[in-house]
Amino acid sequence: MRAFSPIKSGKALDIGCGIGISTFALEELGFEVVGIDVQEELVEKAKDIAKELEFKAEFRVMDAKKLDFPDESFDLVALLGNPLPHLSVYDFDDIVQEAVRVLKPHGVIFVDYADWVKLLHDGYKHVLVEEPFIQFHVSLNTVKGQVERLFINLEKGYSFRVKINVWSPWIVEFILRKAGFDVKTHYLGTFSVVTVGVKP
Amino acid sequence: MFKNLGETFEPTYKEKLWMYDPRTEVGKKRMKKQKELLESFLPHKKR
Amino acid sequence: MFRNLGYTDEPFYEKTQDEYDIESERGRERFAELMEILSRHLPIKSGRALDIGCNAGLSSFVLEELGFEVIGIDIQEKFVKRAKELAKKRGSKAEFYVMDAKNLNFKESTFDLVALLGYPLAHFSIWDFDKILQEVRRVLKPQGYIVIQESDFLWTLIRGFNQPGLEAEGLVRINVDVNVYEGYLERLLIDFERGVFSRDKFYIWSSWILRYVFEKNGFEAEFKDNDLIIARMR
Repeated sequence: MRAFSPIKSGKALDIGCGIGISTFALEELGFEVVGIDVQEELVEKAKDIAKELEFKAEFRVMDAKKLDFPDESFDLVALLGNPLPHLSVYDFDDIVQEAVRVLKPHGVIFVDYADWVKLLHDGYKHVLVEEPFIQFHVSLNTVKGQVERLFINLEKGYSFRVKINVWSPWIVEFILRKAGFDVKTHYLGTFSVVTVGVKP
Repeated sequence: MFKNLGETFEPTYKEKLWMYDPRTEVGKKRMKKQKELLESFLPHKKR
Repeated sequence: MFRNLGYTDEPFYEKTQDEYDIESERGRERFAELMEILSRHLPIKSGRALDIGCNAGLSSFVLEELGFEVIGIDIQEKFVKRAKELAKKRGSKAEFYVMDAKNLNFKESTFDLVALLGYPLAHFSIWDFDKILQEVRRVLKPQGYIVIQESDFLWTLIRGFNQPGLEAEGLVRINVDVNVYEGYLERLLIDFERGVFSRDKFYIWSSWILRYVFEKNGFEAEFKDNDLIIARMR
């Protein structure tokens, strides 16, 4: 018999759920989950998959900066699958403020992300070939804290640029601690850093 | 010939969606990994 | 052989003290440069000014020359002593104290201007600077300004990490590691002339992080040229 075990029951909010993979992971662990995303077509697809695979999770189109949930209604707020590149420090700060509000006392925020400062440091000039794209560094904008990368799809004959917000543990921790969380970071590698905050 | 789509994340979603679909093998693997990550690092609570 | 001084940036300041001393040729050059930059960008030229990290007082004397009544503080006693000495020689009215910027021994709304000149941020973690801004907010008058001289270190980290550098004559700097939990470069400084080596923490700052910490503390920051940032309370 184990004296301690991770909290795996209660209500979880999955922010940036996409087509629901992280939401289903949370449900399989034992949570009652609501998945939200700003992209409507992804949310619709998540609902279809849930029906097909008989998951109970609820999906809604919602902006994480303005959560339509009452105060202290969740045990866990999760940002899984590296969503931080899409968020500026101000976006993430707003989301964290909302997370504090909707979390119950002792509730947990769980953020999974890549350490872009370390990635830039380790080799910003490296070209990444990852089917179907070839991608490489174009520029760094330190005013915005964004890296611009060019993606090329050779077979289909197109290219596009993405802007990735640069994140690293000390910046994530600063925002969470300033919002009142007790924070701990687990560093598995540059592509997999987990920072966990507990609401006092 | 070659098209420039400008600044967008759209193609990454379109081309890679199957990797995030829990019905594919890659998706199943990803889901398992996320469960392991959560199990490892969700804070422990006294029973 | 080489003596290990542990964690300190003393060898760096030992080597570069001329830069901060108004009696040296380099010091006089820097005085003129700073005078030019500040007279061009500062929105006010009178009132009470606090010069944080004043070293031997060069920046404090610039502020006095511009028209401010100046108090300079530094955490290192010997710099403050030198600043006082130089003030006496110049007939300057500037006052100098040994003080930690995270714990300012002044009353509320004392200053019209708070200055952090000479690229001091590398000494401060995000938490140190956050605390300093809280203190500055307290001692600054509501209409007051904070001026800070800063460059972007992210490029240093990305482009120049693997290259050793000459920080000053006979002083070699080698970057050892990046600490991503606290956001600094761990550096090894080797002074070949004195036969000593030491380590220091060089905190990583970049415009977007700086602006965010300013805003988080209720300041609106404006980035000027010459690495100058001027902020005021919202």
